Amino acid sequence: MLKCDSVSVVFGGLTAVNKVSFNVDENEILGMIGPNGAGKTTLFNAICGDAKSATGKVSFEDRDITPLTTDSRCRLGIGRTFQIPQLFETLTVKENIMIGALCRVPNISSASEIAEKIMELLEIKDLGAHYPAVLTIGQRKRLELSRALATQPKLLLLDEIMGGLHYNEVEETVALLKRIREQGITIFMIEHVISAVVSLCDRVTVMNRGGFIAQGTPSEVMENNEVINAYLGRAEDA
Amino acid sequence: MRDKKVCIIILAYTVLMIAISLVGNNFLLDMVVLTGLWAFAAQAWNIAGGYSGQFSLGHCAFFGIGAYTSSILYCNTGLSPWVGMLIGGVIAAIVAAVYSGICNKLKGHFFALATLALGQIMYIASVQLTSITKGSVGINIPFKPGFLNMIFNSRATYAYIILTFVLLLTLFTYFIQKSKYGYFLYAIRDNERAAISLGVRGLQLKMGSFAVSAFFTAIAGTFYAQYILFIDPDSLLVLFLAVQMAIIAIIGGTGSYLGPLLGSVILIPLSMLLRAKINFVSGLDNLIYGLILMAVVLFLPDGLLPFILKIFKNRTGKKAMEKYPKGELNLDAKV
Repeated sequence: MLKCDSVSVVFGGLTAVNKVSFNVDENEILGMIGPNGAGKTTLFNAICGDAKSATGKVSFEDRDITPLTTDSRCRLGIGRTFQIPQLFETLTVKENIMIGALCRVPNISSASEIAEKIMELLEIKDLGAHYPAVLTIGQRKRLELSRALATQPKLLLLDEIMGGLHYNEVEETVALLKRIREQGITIFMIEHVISAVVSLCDRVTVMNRGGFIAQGTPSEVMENNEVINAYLGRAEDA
Repeated sequence: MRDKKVCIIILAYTVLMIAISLVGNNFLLDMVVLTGLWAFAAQAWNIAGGYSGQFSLGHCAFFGIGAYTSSILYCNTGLSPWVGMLIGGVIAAIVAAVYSGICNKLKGHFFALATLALGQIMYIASVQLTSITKGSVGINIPFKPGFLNMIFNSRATYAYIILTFVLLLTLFTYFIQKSKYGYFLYAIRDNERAAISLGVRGLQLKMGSFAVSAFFTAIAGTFYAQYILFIDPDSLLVLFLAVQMAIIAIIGGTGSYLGPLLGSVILIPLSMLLRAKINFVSGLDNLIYGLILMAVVLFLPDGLLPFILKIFKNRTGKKAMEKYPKGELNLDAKV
């Protein structure tokens, strides 16, 4: 579904992403883990068209999308959330979601209906009239997810959607993402909450210093020595 | 008419029009005309500065383009200012779209500085291009009253025209605000990166809103020229003028179609009255005016409109604040 071919992102003298090539398959949940500064978010930006200095080729559904802008990539079906939620602070929760819906539907009333449905699915219906400033971090992340869902994506890029959540909130989000996948949406997620990665992902890739150091099923990756050294650490080290 | 707010706006307009026909005092009429003119210009500024977050300090450039285009065409070819006004508007819109496109990457203060430069460029151009603009000497528009010439004997006629302009622009802004473009502009203003990631055509909308804003600002420029009947670089293309538009919108409340109206209805008569009444110490009127502006910015940083609206209804956000007090966030709950 998504194919990256030798994608690099360079900031001055720093190579944040170094010739990365990989695929995301239809309707899978692909996880990406790795230490801070490995280049995970930058890779996401390159996929979304949000990294100006990106080189290499990104294809989506067999179409080369490298020259396209971020907004047209979204209209093709690539939705994303940000690591630190980027909300519209002067708009209500419902209006935030409507912005996402308005890229698919022409008028306010149908966007409002879509927003209602998504708020119902994500169990934030009672927050609809509130402003983002009053939300907890978990609610903010959920609002970001709702907004991205409102754009009716085929591929959803989730950047640490579970970061900073309560244990039970993580469980809820895991169940929610399973439901989203059942609707036929492919998910590519950066995540540090390993238990969530293990229970959700079909495949996991590990990134370190701008490149992939391992790919495979969650259990294969967890036992990989290089991954343990670079990111997971050993029980006896702790 | 189904829309209650539209009814209220049109009703207010009708009442004002009737009131003007009863006023014979020239000072009062002058006040109405200038209040209308600045309400119109601030409303136009608000489309860029308030809705799409493109804070401009260079709108005097578009004001000047409007005034100069129609005046030069009228004085040299006799073309009716009504037509010249539209031509000036289109030229200003094109300049604005191109400039907004060039400055797309600049945010906040840097964008404001870039627009400041645009005003300055236009000022220098109008001073230097003496063969077209007559430079600092300025252009005198001959007084030949007539509807086609957009010159009138009575100030009341100017008042009728500008109030009609204000009505039309206010309705235009109102319908934009309610449409999906209004939502998109708010989204761009709040967080452009997030808006674009949700499929909003950021660049096109910013260029478009800046162009529309410039178009109407140029129309204000033409009206000003036809009212004063004299234009020169120092009365049109100066920073004061650009700041005036911004201040009226900011004091009233940006990002709403009522803010600029409120701002000009309060500020313009206030400054005129201060100038007329407090003239025993030179400059005292400006000092008082400045202090009032400072007080509003200090105590009501969102402008007067949100303050007034808050008095009328208890906002949902306030109730929510009580429901979810700060400090409820749990950041260390990683598994």
